[in-house]
Amino acid sequence: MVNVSARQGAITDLREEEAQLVLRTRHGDDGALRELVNRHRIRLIRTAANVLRDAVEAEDVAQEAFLKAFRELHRLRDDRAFGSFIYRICVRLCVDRLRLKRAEPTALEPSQKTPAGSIETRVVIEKLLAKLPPDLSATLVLREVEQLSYDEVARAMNVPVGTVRSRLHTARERFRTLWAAANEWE
Amino acid sequence: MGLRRSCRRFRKLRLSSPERGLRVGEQTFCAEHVHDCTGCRRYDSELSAAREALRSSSVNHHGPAEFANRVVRAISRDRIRRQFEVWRPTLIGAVTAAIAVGAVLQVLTPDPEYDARSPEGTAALPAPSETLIFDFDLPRTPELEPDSTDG
Ligand SMILES: [Zn+2]
Repeated sequence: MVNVSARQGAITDLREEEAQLVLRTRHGDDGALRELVNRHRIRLIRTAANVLRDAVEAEDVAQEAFLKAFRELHRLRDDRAFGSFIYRICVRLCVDRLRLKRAEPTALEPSQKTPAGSIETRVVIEKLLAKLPPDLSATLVLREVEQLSYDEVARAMNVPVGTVRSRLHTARERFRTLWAAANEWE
Repeated sequence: MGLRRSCRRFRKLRLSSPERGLRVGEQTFCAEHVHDCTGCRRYDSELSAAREALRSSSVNHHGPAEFANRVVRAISRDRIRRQFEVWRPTLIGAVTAAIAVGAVLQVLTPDPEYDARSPEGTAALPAPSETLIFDFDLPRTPELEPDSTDG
């Protein structure tokens, strides 16, 4: 009980500190801006890399997310919520990129052997995810790879929790079918 | 040929089980069904393998250390560009107004040289006779010279 309240207190302190940084950034303080970027860059780049499956593009999207967030800072009503605000922007940009990428067809060789964790697996997973609609793919990655909770996925994708649930159900089923088809060499 | 009702129930429960814990009755049903049904056993192992592969394919990329500097520079440039965009209509208006005022002043202000030559303010054009006087020597052409040898 004590641990829980101590953790809550620490989170509140972090959010208050973040609100201060946002306020200073609003007044043109570049030091505060750099601090905010450093606080969020690892999470944004990692998520974008997992959703897009491309490290260079992930950095590009993360930078775009920061630019957009600071440009639209006036739309942020509670400065303590900057973290979820920028994360949502980043996920939206990733889904937009996926939509653009879907125009380019990907070919999957069904004879590839796919031991879990190998580079081959990553390549196959990348190709399988590319076959899912962007919303399903992003939801699946946020939940399974990034291990966000239902509520966090819902906030990041700006949809109700019920939508997340039904998307995950469909995404898992489709992904299983694709995975099974890709491993028919067995 | 569709799935049996029990198979559909099993698969639905398996797809949602990672999020919501199954009740005791549901757990018993799943354990019994997967034991008896070959198709659902295969389905279950495919689902688990696909999930495990997806999780193991996580990309742990954080970007370079100088990423923050790059972003701060990009944001500063963007800020300046946007400030310029805000002020651009005003600047264009000010420059246009200055040009217009300059043009009007030029039209209204009398020319000092013009005044010096004509104190009364009337045009002092040179007389036609003055303009037609050639005060240089034309070259003499021999064909036009009177023949001095005739005589
Ligand atoms: Zn069955």
